[in-house]
Amino acid sequence: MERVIFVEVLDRRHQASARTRLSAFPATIGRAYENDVLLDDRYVDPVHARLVLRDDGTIVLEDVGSRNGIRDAVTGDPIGSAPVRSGMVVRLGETRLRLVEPGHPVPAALREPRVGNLALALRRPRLAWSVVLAGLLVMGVGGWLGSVGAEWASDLAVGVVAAMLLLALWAGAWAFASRIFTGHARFAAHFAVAVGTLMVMSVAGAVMGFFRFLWPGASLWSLLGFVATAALLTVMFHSHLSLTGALGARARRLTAGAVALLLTAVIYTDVLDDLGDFGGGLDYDGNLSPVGASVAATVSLDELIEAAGEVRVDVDSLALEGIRD
Amino acid sequence: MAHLLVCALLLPVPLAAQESSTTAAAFRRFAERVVKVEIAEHGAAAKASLGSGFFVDGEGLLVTNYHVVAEVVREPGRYAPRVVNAAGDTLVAELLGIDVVHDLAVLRAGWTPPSWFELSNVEPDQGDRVLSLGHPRDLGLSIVEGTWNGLLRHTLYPKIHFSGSLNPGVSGGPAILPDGRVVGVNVSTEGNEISFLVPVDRVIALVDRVTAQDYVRPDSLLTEAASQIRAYQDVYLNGLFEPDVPIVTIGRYQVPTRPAAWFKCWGDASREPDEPYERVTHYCGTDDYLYLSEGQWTGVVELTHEVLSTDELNRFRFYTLYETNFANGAPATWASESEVTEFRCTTRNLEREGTRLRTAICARGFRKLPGLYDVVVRAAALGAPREGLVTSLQLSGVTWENATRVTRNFLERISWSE
Repeated sequence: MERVIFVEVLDRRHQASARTRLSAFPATIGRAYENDVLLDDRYVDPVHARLVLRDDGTIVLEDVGSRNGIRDAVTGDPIGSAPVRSGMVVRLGETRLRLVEPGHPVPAALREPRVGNLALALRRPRLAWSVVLAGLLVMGVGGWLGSVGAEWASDLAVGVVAAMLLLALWAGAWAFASRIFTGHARFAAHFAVAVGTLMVMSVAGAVMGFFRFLWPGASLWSLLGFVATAALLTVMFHSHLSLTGALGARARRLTAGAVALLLTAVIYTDVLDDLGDFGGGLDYDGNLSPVGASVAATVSLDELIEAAGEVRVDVDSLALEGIRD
Repeated sequence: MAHLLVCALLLPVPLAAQESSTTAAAFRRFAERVVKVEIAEHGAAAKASLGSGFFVDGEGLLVTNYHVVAEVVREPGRYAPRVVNAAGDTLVAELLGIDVVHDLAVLRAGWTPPSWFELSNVEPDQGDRVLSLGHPRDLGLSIVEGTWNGLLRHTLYPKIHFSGSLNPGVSGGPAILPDGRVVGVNVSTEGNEISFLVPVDRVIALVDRVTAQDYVRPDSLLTEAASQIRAYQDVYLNGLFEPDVPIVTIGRYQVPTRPAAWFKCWGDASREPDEPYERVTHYCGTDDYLYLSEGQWTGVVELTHEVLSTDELNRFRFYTLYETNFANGAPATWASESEVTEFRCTTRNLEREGTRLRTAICARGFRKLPGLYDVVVRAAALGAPREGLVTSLQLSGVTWENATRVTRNFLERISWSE
C-alpha cells in the first residue's frame, strides 16, 4: 500500500500557505533545492530534516543534524526524531510545519454567505466606495439645503469633512477588530456601513419630519421612529460584526439587536433627560415643509384649544407628581 | 418773575421749618419709625433674608414688601418674620396680610412704637425731594435723597418712578417727603438711580383691608396670593386681542399689536449685508414682573412677530431657515424646578378662513399655586414658498381659562392674503 503524507507550511494565522504531497520515502526537508519540501527560512539548514518510512508502516520525522533542530511548535521542546501523528505541528527555524495524513478529519463546510447579506457584499471595494460616495452626495445636498448663512459653502465643507472624519474613526475601530479576527481590515466595507447608516438615517429623518408636518400630534410617529431607529442600528451593528467575523451567526444577531435596542431606548426615552438637570425648555414639533401644506391634516380653532386641554391634564399630573430628588 | 424769585429767596425762613426740611433733621425725626425686617428659619439664630419696614399705627402695625416676607408665605412652617427696632430690640412679628400684585405685606409686632407714620394720599409734584429710608445690605439704617418723578404711565403694576439710589435691604422701607408724609414704599431698582416705589394709595388700601373689623387672616396666605393674582389678571387680561386690537401689517401678514396701553412695543427690520434673507421683528411686552419667590418671577405678557423673506434662497433652503426660527422657541420667564413643572406641548396645523398656521401650544403648571400656568403659543404661517411669519404669545402665571381665551383671540387676529 502506498503511504502518503502532506507537509503544510503554516502562516501566522495557522492557515496552510504551501502544501506538499509526499509518497516516496525517505523525503527531505530543507532550504536546498534538492529537497522534497523547500523552506525559505534563513534559520533552516540546507537539508534540515527527513521523513523515513519504517517497516511497520509508521513514518518518522528525523533531525539530520541541523544547527537549530526541530522543535515542538507548542512547547518548544527539541525533537530528535518522532513518529508522525496526523496533525502534529513542528517548528523548523521560524517555519511551522503541519504533518497531515490523508485520512485526517476536516470540519464541515461553512454555509456560503446568503445573497443579500449587505455586509459581505460590501467586501467588494468598488461597491463599498460607491456607498461612501453616495453618502457624501446625500450629505452634501442635505447640507446645502440646510445652510442659509452667508458662509454656507465653507460651513458645509467643514461639516462634511468633520462628519467623514468621525465616521472614518468609527470605521477604523471596527477595521482594527476585523484585522484581529480575520486578518483583513476591510476598512472600506466598515466605512461604507457607517456612511450608509448615516445616509439612511438622515433621509429617513427628513421623511419622518415631513410626516410629522402633515400629521402633527400623532403618537404613531414616536413609535415608528423608535422601531425604524432600532432596526437601522441593528443592521449597522450586525454588518460591522459580520465583517469582523467575530461571534457565531446567532450570537451576532442577538448582540446587534440588543445593543441597537439599548441605544435606541437611550435616545428615545427620557432616560438621559431624567438624569440631566431640570430642562425648562419647550419641546414641540417644529417641523415645517415648503410643500404639502395644502394636503396637511388641519384642525379648527376649537379643536386646537381642545388638544391643548390634554397638555393641561399632563402638566397638572406633573405638578402632583412632585419633584424628583 | 426774576424779581419775585429773588424776593422768595430772601424772605426769612422760620428756624423750625428750616430744621425740619433738612435731610439730617428728617432722619433724626423719623428713624425710630423704621425697622429692619428679618426672615429666619425656626430655631435658627441667623437670618435667611432681610428687608425694611415702617410703623403705621401705635399698636405695632408694620408695612413692608411682599418679596421681603415671601418665604414666610410660601413655607410658614419653616420661616417666621421678626423685626429689629431702632433701639436694636428684636421683636416677634406676625404676618397679617399681603398684596402680592403690588408687592406689599402687613405685619404686626407685639410692641408699641413711640411714633409712627400716618398714611394719607399725597400727590407730590414732579421734581419734589423724596427721602427713602431703609437698611441697605444690613449696614444700618440709612437715608437717601432722590426726586419724585411721578407714577409710571402704562404699566401693568402701578409704580412710582423715584430718581434715587435703592439697594438690596431697603425694600419695604418708606419713601417720604421731608415733612414725614409717606409717598410710597421702596420696592425695586434698575440701577443708575432709576428706582421704583409702590404708591401710597395701594398701602392705604391694604392697611384698611387688614385693619377692618371683619378681616380674618387667611389660613393659607399662599392660596390668598394665588387668588389675588387670578383676580388681578381677570381684569387686565379681559379684552386682550378682542376685535378692536390695533393691527400692524408686516410683509403680507396682518398681526395684532399693542393689545393694551400697558404694553411697550418695539419693531426692527434687519438685513445683514451677506445674508440672503430679510428679517422684520415686532415685539410688544408688559416689561413688568411679579415677584413670587427667589425661584420665580411671573405676570409678564409678551408678543413677538417675526417675518422672514428671501429673494435669493430657493424654497427648500428658505424653509430650513424658517423651520429653525419656528422651532427655536423659549419661555419668556425663568422658574426653578421647585416652582414649576416641565413644559408640555401640542402641535397642530390650524386652518382658519382658508389660511393655515402651524401652531404649537406649550404649558407648564405652578407647583405651589395650583391653577396657574405659564403658556407659550408659537405659530408659523404656511403656504408662501419664500416668506414666512413666526409669531409667539407668552402668558405667565395665568389661569387656564384666561390662557385659552386670550390664545383664541390672538390666533383669530392673525391673517394674510395667499
